[in-house]
Amino acid sequence: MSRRILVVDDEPNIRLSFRYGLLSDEWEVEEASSGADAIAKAQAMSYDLMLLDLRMPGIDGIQVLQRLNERNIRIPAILVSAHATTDTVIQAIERGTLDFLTKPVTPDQLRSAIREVLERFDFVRAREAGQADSRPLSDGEKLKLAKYDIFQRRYQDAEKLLRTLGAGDEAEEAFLLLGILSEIRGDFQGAEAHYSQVVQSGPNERKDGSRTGWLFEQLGGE
Amino acid sequence: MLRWRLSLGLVTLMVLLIAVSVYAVWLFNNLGSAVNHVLENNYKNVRAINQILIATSRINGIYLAADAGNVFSPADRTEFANNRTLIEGAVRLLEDDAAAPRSPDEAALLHRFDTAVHSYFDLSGQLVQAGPVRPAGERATPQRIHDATFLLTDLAGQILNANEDAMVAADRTTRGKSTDSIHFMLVAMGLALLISLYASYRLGQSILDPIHLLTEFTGKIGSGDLDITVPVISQDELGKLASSFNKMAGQLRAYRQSTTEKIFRLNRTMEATLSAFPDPIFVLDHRRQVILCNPAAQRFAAELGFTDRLPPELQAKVAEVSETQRDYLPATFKDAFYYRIADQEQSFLPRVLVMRNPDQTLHGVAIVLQDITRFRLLDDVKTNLVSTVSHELRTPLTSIRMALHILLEQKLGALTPKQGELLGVARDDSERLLRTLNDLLDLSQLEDSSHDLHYDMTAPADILQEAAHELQETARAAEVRIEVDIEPGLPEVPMDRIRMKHVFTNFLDNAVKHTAAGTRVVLRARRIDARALRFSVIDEGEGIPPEYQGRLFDKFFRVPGQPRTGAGLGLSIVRQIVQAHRGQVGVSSELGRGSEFYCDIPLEDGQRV
Repeated sequence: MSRRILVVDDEPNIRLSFRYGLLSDEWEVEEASSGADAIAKAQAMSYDLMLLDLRMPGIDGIQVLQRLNERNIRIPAILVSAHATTDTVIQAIERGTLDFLTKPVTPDQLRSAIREVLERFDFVRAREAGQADSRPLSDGEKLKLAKYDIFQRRYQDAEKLLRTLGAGDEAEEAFLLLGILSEIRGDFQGAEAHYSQVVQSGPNERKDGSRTGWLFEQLGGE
Repeated sequence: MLRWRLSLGLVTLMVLLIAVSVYAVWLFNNLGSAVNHVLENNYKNVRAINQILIATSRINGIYLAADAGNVFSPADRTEFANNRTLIEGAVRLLEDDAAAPRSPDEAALLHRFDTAVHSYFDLSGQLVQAGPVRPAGERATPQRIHDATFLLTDLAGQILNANEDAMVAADRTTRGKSTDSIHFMLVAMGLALLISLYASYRLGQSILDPIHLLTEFTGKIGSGDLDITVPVISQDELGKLASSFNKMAGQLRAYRQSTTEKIFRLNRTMEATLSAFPDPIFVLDHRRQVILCNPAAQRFAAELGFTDRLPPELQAKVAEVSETQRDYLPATFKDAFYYRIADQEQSFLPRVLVMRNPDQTLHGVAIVLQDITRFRLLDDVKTNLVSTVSHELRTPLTSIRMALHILLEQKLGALTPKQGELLGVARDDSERLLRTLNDLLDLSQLEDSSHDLHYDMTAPADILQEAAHELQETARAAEVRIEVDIEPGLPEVPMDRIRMKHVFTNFLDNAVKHTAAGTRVVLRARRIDARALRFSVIDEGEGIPPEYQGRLFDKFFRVPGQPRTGAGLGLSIVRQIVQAHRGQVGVSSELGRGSEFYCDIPLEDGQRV
């Protein structure tokens, strides 16, 4: 069964290239040419995922997320931007979106990002449907669940889960998410504490202390 | 000439004095000689009368003797003749005296005396003529002589009396004359006194009046009234003083005129400058009252609807500056005040300047509200530039890249080898374009936000190890060995780890690329002095020609003849990062021997200093 993906971008060229990039039996692509268009389509139809352009005339990506939230429409989204700032990232996470792609993307990056997000939601839904086995959760799985909690605005559950993560790449990401959650709460000191933990966890090659650094890599890196 | 006037005044007095003195001398002299004359005359008359009386008595003696003897000896006759001569001489003297004017009584007396003398001589002459014998019976003759002598003597007495009277009269006349003289002298002296008083009064007036006038005018000039002229009355020294005073007043006037003009011009210049100044300027006195504002300030005040009191936040700044007496010169946007003017929010940077008196006390404050609305917009634009450029360049690049990649995936259809080759070239260059774009954006972000560095105390070994680790793969592929050489006991250094790691990986990447297989690259940290550490990346590569070494860190610079691997921004990004750390980058290289790229990082970061 193919997944329904909504590509939201004011640039027809981008929509076209994304459509061709995602041309396969896996996905069924629909396009929205503006924020308002996206909201209308999301209300009319259900989608498995939304590729949402951040910068659009009129209603921009963040506002689309906001309005869908207000209408209680939850669609997993990947925010696509040429230049995302820290504030944008936090605003997006506040609205349940934790996934970002930086233009220009390659078809591979696009596809793998979509697959990762879909897979995460599949995992969580399967677990919620009671298909999960009883073995203990891996760190990766905990992270997926936590991200889903954040998507559902269940911050306390997310934090509880994230705190159980020990070490490694997942722990590093967990600290970052804890930091961002603290920041959303307005606890900037707590946020800084979490960010500094990032430095001390993770392996050497990803020892990027500051939040900016992480975001730099998250958003700015190819 | 004042001198002449003074002399003239004194000369008048001298002339008066001399005149009075000369007159007095003449008067005394005159009186003396008049008295003398009277005395002399009287004395002569007295002597003459005495002579006459003596001679008469002698003649009478002869007669008496002759009468007794009745004989006149020749000696008797001679005696008689002599005495007669004496008497006649005396009578002449008397008559001489009579030549002077005399009273009719006197003249009559003299005449009677003269007659008496003549009758005496007639009688005695008869006797003498009669010879030695007195006729008998002539007893009466002596009686007649006796009578004549008596008459003579009586008259002489009368003459003497008259003389005495004349003397008394002369004395009285003289006395009256001298009294008159004293009166005259007193009057003359009184007159002289009056004249001299008047003269000295006039003289004083003629000297003092101009001086008083000058004093008065000096006072006026002193109080600033320069438009006055002292009347020049005379040509003397005082006149000269007055005209030089007028000259001085004129020069003062001219000076004031020029000074006033200068001040006026200065004022005009200042006003014009202030008016031309687009930013509102308020000048407040020490009581914080607005004493001056330019048109921009007036518009500002009108827009905000305040008149004499500044908005509270400005007043607070003014109060702060007045108290601390230190200028308030904000430089960042966060110190700006925002006001709604003409329905637009405008930002103003309030600069409050202290104005001091020459004795350093507070004279007032000047407030310049620098309108930074435009700057802020520009700053916003600049801040947004990165995102705008990113968006505008990355969005089209996305379609290009997507299209090339999708085509090369051949899912949409098979490509001929030539098509594939061409599209491959296009894809590679789009990748290069993306790298250059990213570098440029990095650089502009760094240039913009060097104060946004995120300092952490970092152990030199840690960061160099990390960098080495990151390049491990590349080095292995190039068959280059990376060694880390850290001086023991180095302190931790404050640095933005991510950015500094970028510096070392960039250095390392370059070193690995320019080093032959089988050689090594050394990452080294050394202390260079008490304040800084030097981090170096040393290779054994081909080296860099000296003429290019100075330009290596410039934007877009590439050593000619080397393969094009990037936009030439890598090292300028490095320099930007190191400079943001208040450090320095450098290179030393020797052709054929290798190169050392280094950066010196201070032990104290910018924030802590």
